[in-house]
Amino acid sequence: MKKIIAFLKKTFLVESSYQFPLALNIASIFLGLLSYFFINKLFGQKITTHLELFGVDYFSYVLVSTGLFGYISVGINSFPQKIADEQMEGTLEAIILTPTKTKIILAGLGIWNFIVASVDFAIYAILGLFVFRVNLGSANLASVALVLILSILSFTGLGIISASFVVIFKRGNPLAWVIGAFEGIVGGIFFPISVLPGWLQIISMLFPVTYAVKAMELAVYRGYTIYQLKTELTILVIFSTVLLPTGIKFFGWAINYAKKQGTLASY
Amino acid sequence: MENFVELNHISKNFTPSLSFSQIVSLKFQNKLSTHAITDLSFSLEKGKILGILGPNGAGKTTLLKIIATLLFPDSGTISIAGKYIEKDNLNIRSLIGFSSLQERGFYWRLTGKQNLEFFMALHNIDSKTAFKKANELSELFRFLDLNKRFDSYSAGMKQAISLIRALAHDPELLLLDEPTKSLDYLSAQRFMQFVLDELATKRNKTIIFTTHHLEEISNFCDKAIILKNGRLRETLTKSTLKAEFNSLKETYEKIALENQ
Repeated sequence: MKKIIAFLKKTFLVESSYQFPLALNIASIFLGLLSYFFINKLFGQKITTHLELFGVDYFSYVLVSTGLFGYISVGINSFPQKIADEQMEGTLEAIILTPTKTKIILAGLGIWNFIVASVDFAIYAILGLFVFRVNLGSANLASVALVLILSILSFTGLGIISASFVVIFKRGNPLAWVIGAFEGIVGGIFFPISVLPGWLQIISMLFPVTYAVKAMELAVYRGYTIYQLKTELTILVIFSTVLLPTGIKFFGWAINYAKKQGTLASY
Repeated sequence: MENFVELNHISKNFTPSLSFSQIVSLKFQNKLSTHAITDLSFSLEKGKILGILGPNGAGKTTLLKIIATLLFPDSGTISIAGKYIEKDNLNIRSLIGFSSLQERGFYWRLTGKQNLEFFMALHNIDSKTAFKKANELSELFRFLDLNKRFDSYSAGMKQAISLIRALAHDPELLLLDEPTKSLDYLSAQRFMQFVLDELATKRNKTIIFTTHHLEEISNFCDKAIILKNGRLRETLTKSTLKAEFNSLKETYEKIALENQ
């Protein structure tokens, strides 16, 4: 735990030495939501048949899905990005020289971004409630928390696998490309997957984000309990238990590969 | 006396990665490997200082990185304090202090002190002890202010911070890659004397360092090896080093100039 706190303190000191990111981050979230707000206005703020399951209009739907996607994207992107940063600075080698287990290094590198993402998620909720007047009163908080935890665990596994590609190939991360290219379309982030043709709906079932978004929308707007979300939560548990240990194992292998190739410090 | 560091038949080749054009043209045969280290064996007792000499590209840094567990050898075995690096990697890392020649390896937007505090925490040393250690060691290097940002340090100060990081967790084995390269003359002398008197003689630490300065080998080492093209070319003992500086110079020049 002390080592993770050391990583957290170090990252805080580095990040706070830059002046604008936090303010720009809040502005980006606000402007992004504003676009969806006007798209919703264009289509008459109606609950379409595709959104009947959740009982909300398009803006309310996309507020939760993009907020959640921002959060779980951290799981995918923060590990490869942090590994690339540490390689560029040459500090990855220095960290690996210390008697620190791979799991602790990964947790230490990722934790700051999860805190930032949690703040972002809270900003989505605050903007939704107080600026865009979305009704979040029916949310089942226990279900919301569990969906968040399981989503982040699944995506952390994917992110660690993605970071392993960075350790080996430095640039050009095929996994990040696949996730980035497909999840926006098939994950139900910008529209419910029911609008997709059947064959794309089948592909969407391969991605944990599909279950995470559906479960989160139902937990927030329909107040679904953990029991009512058992199918989605079970699938997220399966994704987590497979992807997280696989990711950690794969990362350890990638580090050993780089040590054999002599490319640990190159970028 | 028992050996603290033991290398047996270590070899390391670097094979270049396939280029994009090789992949596209389906020509998978690789370019020739570089033989960085070839069949290298030596040992060192606890509390002794080993100097590694060799012209540029001789394999000195590669050898230090292999001992530091940052590079895996293709063949051969390495043991440190009786532990083999392939089996006991994590424990061995706590025994090692490594100072690299590169300026990279630190967070340039943090101060020297913040950098040291972070890396010491990864060695399970609390910040109070880390500050105390860092301040003590910084006295070896004149004009070193640990509260300045790392990117504002001169090359010599960066090297001093790197040396402090290598020493601060009190490792049993110090691996120093050209430790005095960027230091001013007085700091270099004071540091090497500290290595000899305090670390090796008083505290029985084992030290391996690379250098291009024959005087450092002659004045501070118990043993020296000369590498050329990754091969061990000469092993020199303390008696030879102390008594015959000119002979060391001649031997080194002869090896360095061969085939050139």
